[in-house]
Amino acid sequence: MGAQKAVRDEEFRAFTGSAWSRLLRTAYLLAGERHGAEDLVQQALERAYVHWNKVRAADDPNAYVRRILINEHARRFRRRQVEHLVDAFPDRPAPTGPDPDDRTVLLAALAALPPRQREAVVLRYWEDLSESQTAAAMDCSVGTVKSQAARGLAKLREASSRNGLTSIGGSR
Amino acid sequence: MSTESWPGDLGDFGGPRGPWNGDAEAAEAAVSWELGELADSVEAGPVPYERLLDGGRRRLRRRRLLTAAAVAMAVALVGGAGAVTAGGGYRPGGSPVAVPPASGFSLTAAPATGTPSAAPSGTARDPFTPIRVKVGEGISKGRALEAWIALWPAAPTAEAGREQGRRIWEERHAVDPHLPPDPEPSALPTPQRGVLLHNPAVVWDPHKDRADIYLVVDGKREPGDYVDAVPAPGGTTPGEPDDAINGVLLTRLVNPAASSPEMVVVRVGPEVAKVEVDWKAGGAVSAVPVGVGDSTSRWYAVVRTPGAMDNTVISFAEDGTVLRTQNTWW
Repeated sequence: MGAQKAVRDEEFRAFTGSAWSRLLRTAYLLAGERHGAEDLVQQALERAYVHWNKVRAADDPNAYVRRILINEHARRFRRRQVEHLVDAFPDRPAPTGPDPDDRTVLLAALAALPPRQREAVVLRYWEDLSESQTAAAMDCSVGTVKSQAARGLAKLREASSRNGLTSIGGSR
Repeated sequence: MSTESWPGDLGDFGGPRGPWNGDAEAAEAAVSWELGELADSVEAGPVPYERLLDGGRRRLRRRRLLTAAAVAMAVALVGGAGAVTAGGGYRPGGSPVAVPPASGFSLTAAPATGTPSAAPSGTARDPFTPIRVKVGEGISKGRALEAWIALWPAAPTAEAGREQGRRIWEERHAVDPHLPPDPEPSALPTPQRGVLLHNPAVVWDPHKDRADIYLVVDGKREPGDYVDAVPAPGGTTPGEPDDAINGVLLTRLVNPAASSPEMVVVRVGPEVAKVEVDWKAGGAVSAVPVGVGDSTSRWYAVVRTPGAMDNTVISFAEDGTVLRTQNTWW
């Protein structure tokens, strides 16, 4: 029993060491802020620890844990009734600052997306998953991924143009 | 803001209007690049190994304790049901005998007694392979009642939805030979078609699982089931936020022809850990909602106290706090 536990812990450490950075960045895009992202990854990895036998037996452990992360994000959103979503990004003065301000704009636009659209956009365009991989991670159909990603993208574009940005990234 | 071109090979997408105003491919490339920039701005820092391990171990311990508790509860429930059969309740051919409140007469299954016939969450969802789980059981008039759910995962296409509907109908028809064929919506006049929009047995929705709720009496499935549409995990159900399903009473399973006792099956949200039904006529019974596969819905079932209506149901969260109190129509 003790040996099994030691093996589990060792494998978990190795996996966490390689996956932490990527998971944290994905979570950051989903949660919209650092502390929320860390909490999200913490919860997801704790769940992964509980189901470690399934994680290690999975064809792609990273995909398995990513799916836990997405589920955790969805579950958290369902609990958080206080989060207020808007259809359109609120009007704001044209930004004048350098890149960090543009990042704030993008992060705010991303946070304004409904959670499923946010997940679809992040998985498709940051994680660079295919539509079928995204569907597997979100536990939905490819059609849902297409529609959610397209709507999310359209809203980001709308937010971009409303804020007077040629691109959200701004000057380079 | 600059309108300079994008870095690297994205530069061609920019043009005078900029990438966000260009075609869809350019927009995808642009947002991909921007998200990468944003994500890379996060300093990952050192991995909090010990914190993660501590949290994981804590969860593991809690899970093992809960499993042990559920098994113990299931054993207690089986013993309790036997005692009631022997000492009270309804006897075959006899008149009703008063049953003390919360005696286990109207009994529901604890999660551990659910017996899925297919793999639960974590496996691929097959719209043609239902997951069956017993969500409650009890004894009345000397007959063993069981409420079952056959959850058919959402069909991704209209064609698969029709095929799934056909299979559900075949299964129901095998139990009830008088069951009429499901109508084809397009073959009906518009007013009737409108009514069908509320019939989940007929209308396909890619974001909804179909749940066939049925009663098994003395080991035999009874006619008079009910097909419901419930949100599929990860699906979108416009106009029906998650909290709208909480505490909705779904159906009452009755077989009047056989003078079958009644059982009530209720769908609740995942936040409901326990319910208590206070019968207006006196007495109470508690029930633990049961999950089916990876569905976000839970179900509980109770044997209805004859003649009682307008009862009260109190829903509890896992930590024991009262979520809501509702009056029932049953």
